[in-house]
Amino acid sequence: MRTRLYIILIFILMLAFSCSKDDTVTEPEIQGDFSLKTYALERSPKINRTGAGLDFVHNGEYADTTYFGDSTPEAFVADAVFYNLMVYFEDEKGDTQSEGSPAILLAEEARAMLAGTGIDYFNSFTEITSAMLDSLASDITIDFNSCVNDSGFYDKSLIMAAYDGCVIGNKFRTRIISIPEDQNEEDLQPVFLVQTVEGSFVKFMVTQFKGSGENKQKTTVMWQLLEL
Amino acid sequence: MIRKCLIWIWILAWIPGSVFARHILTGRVCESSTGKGIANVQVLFDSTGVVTDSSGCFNLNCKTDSFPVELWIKHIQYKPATFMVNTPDAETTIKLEPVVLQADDITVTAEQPIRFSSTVSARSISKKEIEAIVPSTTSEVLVRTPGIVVKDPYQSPIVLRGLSGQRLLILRNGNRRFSSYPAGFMSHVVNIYDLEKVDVEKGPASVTFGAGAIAGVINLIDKSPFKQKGLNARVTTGYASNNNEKNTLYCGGWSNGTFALKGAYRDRNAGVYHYADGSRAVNSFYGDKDVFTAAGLHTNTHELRLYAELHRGGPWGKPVGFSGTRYLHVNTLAENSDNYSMHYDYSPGGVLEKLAFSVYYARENRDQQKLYLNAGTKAPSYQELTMYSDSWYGAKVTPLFRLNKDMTLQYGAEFYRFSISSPVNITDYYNGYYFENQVSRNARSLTSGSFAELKYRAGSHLSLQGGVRYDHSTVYEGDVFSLEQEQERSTQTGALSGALAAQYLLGTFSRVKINLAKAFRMPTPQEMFSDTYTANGILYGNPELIPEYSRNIDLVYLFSHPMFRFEISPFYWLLDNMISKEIIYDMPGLNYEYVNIGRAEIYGGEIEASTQLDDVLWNTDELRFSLGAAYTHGTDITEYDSGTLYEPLDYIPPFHVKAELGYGFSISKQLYVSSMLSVQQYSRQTRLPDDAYVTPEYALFSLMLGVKYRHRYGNSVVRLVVNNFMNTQYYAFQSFVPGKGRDVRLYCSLAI
Repeated sequence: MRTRLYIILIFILMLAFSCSKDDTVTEPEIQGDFSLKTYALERSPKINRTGAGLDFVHNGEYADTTYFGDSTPEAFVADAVFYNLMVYFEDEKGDTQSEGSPAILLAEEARAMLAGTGIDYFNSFTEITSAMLDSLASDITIDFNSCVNDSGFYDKSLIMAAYDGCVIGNKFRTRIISIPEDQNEEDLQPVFLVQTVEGSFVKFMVTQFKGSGENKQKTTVMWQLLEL
Repeated sequence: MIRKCLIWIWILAWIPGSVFARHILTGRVCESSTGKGIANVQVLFDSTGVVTDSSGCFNLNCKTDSFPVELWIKHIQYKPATFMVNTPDAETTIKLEPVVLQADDITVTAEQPIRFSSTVSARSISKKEIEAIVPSTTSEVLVRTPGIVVKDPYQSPIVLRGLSGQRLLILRNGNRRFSSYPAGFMSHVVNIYDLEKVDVEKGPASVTFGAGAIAGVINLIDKSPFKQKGLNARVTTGYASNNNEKNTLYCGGWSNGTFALKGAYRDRNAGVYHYADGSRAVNSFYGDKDVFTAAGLHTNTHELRLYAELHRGGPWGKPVGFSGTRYLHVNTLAENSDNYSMHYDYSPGGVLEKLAFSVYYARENRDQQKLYLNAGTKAPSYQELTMYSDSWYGAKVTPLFRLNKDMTLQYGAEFYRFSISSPVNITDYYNGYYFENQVSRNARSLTSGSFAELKYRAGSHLSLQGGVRYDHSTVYEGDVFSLEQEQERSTQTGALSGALAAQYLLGTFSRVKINLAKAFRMPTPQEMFSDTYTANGILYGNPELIPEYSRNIDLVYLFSHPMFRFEISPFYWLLDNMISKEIIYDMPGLNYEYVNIGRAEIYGGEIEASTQLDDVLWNTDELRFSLGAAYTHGTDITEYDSGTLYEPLDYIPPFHVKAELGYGFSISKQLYVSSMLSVQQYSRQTRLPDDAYVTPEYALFSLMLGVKYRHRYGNSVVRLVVNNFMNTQYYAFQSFVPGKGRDVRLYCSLAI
C-alpha cells in the first residue's frame, strides 16, 4: 500500500514541476529619444566573405540598415563593416584547417572612440562630453596584401597585429576580452562612440560575440543614435 | 482537469488491492507443436484473469471452491481455448494452436512477442498500427509513444526520455545498428513497411543488450517469411500532397510452412515540403529505394531465417535554415547501405528451452555536401564534401535454460566490430583553394561481451530477476596521417553492468515492477579519434574518454485488463562521466571536443491509459481510446558538492500529451471502415542551457480514414490520412525551421 502511495506522490510532484512558471526574461531598459537597434550578423567566415555593412544614418535619417558586401547599390555607404577574413593553417595531423578573423572596421570618413564597458554603461550613456569628442579617431588603413604568409594564405598573427591598430578592430572577441565564468559577456563588452560619415553620433556595442540557439553562428550588435 | 485525472489515478491504484482469492491455480501455456512457452496469454476464470509471463507460466487467484472449473485461454495469435481444471492443486499445462489471423490483408502468426516480462515500461507497435497512419519513416510511428520526440520526421535522431544517439540502442531483429551520423541512428534509412512491429522498452537493458541501452531499446522487427502460407502478393501506391511524395511498394512471398521466401521493394520520391504559411522549405526534397528479401526454414524445433535489406538513398537535402543560417545548404548526394543477417532458433523444450543465434554484416557509404553561400553575393563560397564509409559485423548466441518450473537462466555472448572512414574534400571558391583532409580512415572498435541472467518466480505473486554482464572494447584510431606520431593509437576499456528487478502482482490485472540497473555506453571510434565536420564547427575526438555509466531506478505500475490498460512509469537516472561536447577555447574557430562531463541527473515519467470497447453502437463496431503524457527533467550536477547552480541538460524534451480516438465498424462481411483522430500537444520547454533555443508550444491534429474491402481474390485497402489538418505553423522541439503544414496522404493497396 505504501509503495503505491509513494509512486503516486512521485508522479504528482513531477506534474507539479512540469506546471511550474517559466523563468522571466528581463528586457534591457531603453533610454534616449532614438530607438535602440540590434542586429545579428553572420559570423561564419565561410558565409560572411565580403563583409557586412552597418549604415547607422542613411540619407540624413536614422536607419536600421545593414547589408552584406556586393549585395547593395554603390550609393549605400556604410559607417562600419563587420569583416571576417579566413585564415588557413596546418594542424598536427597534417590536415589543412581554417578559422575566421572577425573585426569591425570603420569607414574612411567615420571616427570612433572607446567610451566605456558593459550594458549598464551603454544604457546610461546619453551625453557626449568634449573629452570624448577629442578622443575620436579614424581607423588605420590595413594593407591586407602584407598579411599573407609563405603558403599564400592570410596569416593569423599578422592579421591580429593589424587589427590592434583599429579603434574597434577585434576588441569585442571573447578570446580577447576574457569572460570569467561568473560574469555575463554583455557586462564586459566595450562600448564605443561612433561619429558616422554624415557626422551624427551613435553609441555602439557588441552584446554577444558568439550567439545562442538559432543565432549560435551570429554576432549580435546593438546601437542607438545619440545626436543626428 | 489534472485534479480529476489524479483522482482517477488514485482510485484505479486502489482497485486491485480489494481482490483476494481462495485458490491459486498454477500452470503453463505453450505452443502445441514446439512446447515453447507463450508469453502474454490471457488466462481467465469468471471475472478474474492473469497474463502469462515470458516463459508462459501463470498463477491465477481462483475465487471458488467448486471444482472442476473452466479456464478461458485467449491470445491474439493463437486459437482461443478452454481448459478444465479438476482440482485446485493440479499443475496445468495448456497447449495452444497458432492461428492464421487476418490483420488487414497480411496473415500474421506468432513471432517474437515483446518481452512482457520486461521489468521496465514496454510496448509493441504492430504492423496494423503502423499501416493505419501510412507513415513515411519510422520516426512518425515512434513519435506517437509518450516519452519519444523527434525534431524532424525525415532525418533526425530519435530521443527517448531526453537521451538519444549512443544512449538509445536501436536494434534490427535483435542485432544492433550502427551509423556514421554523429547523432546516431537515423530512421529514414529503414523502410517502415518492411517491419512487422516495433518494440519499445523505456529503461536500461545493458545486461541483455550491452552498450548503449541506457535510455532504452527500440527493436525494429522485420516481417517473418512464414507469416503467410501459399503464394501472396501486394501492391501499394501512395501520394502525399504537401511535398508531392510518391511512394510505390511491391511485396510478395511464398511459404509452405517449412520453407518460405519473401521479397519487397519500395521506391519513394518527394519534392520540397511546405510550411503551414504556404512557404517552401527550400532544399527539403528526398528520394530513396529499398529492397528487402527474406528466406526461412522451419521445423518443429528449428527455425532459420535469412534477411537482406538494401537501401539506396539520395540525393536528398536538409531544409535551409535547419542550423540557424540561410546560407548553408546540406545535401546528401548518395546514401547506400546493405544489411545482411542470419537468425537461427533451436527450441528443444527440455532443460535447454531455447537457443538463439544470430550473425550479421552491414556496410554503408554516405557522401554529404555542405555548401556555404556568401551572404552578400549568394554565390557558392565554401564546400565540404565528406565521404563517410562504415561497416560492422557481429554475432550473438543466447541459450535459455529452464532449471525448474520457477527458474530460468539465460546466458549470452556476443561480439561486434565497427569501422568508419570520413575523409573530407574542401573547396574555397572565394580564394580558389582546394585541398583534401584525411581526418579519419579505418577508425574501428572491437567489442565482446557476455552475460548471465536468472529469473525466479517466488510464489504466486512475486518474480525476481537479476543479471550481470561484462564487456570489453578495444578502440583503434585507424590510419595515421599525423606529423607527430607514427603508429595508430588504441585504447582498451572494460565495462561491468548489472540489473536487479522484481515484479509483484497486486491483483488479477495489476502489477508493480521495479528495476535497479547499472547500464553503460562505450566511447565510439569517432568520439575518441575522429574529427567530424558538423554544421556548427569541427568536432574533435578525445582519446582520453572513458565509458559512461548510468544508475537507473525505474518503477512501473501496470493495470492490464482486456478492456482497459493503465500504466504509470516514473524513473530516476544518474549518469556518470557523461560523454558530451564542449567548446574548445584555446583552438582556432568555433570548435568542439568530446569530454566526460561528470554527472547528470534525469528523472520524470509517463502515464498511459487505453481502452478498447467492442459492440458499442452495433454488434460489429469497436471504439479505441488512448491517452499518454510524459515529463522529463534533466540537470548537469557535476558541481553538486561546490554548491554552484546546476545547468539544465540540453535536449530534454518538453512536457507532452498524446491522445488517439479510433472507431471502426463492419458494414458487411466484405467491407470494414475505420477512422482515427489523434492529437499531440507539446508544451514550451524553457528549462534549457543558456545557449539553447526555446521553441514555442504547439498542438498537432491528425485524422485517418480507412476502408477495407475483402473480395474473392484478396483485400483492397484505401487509406486517407490528413496530418496537421489544422495547418498549424509550429516548430518541433529545438528545431530552427517550422514543421510541415497540412499534408493529405492517400494510399491504395491491393493484395492477393
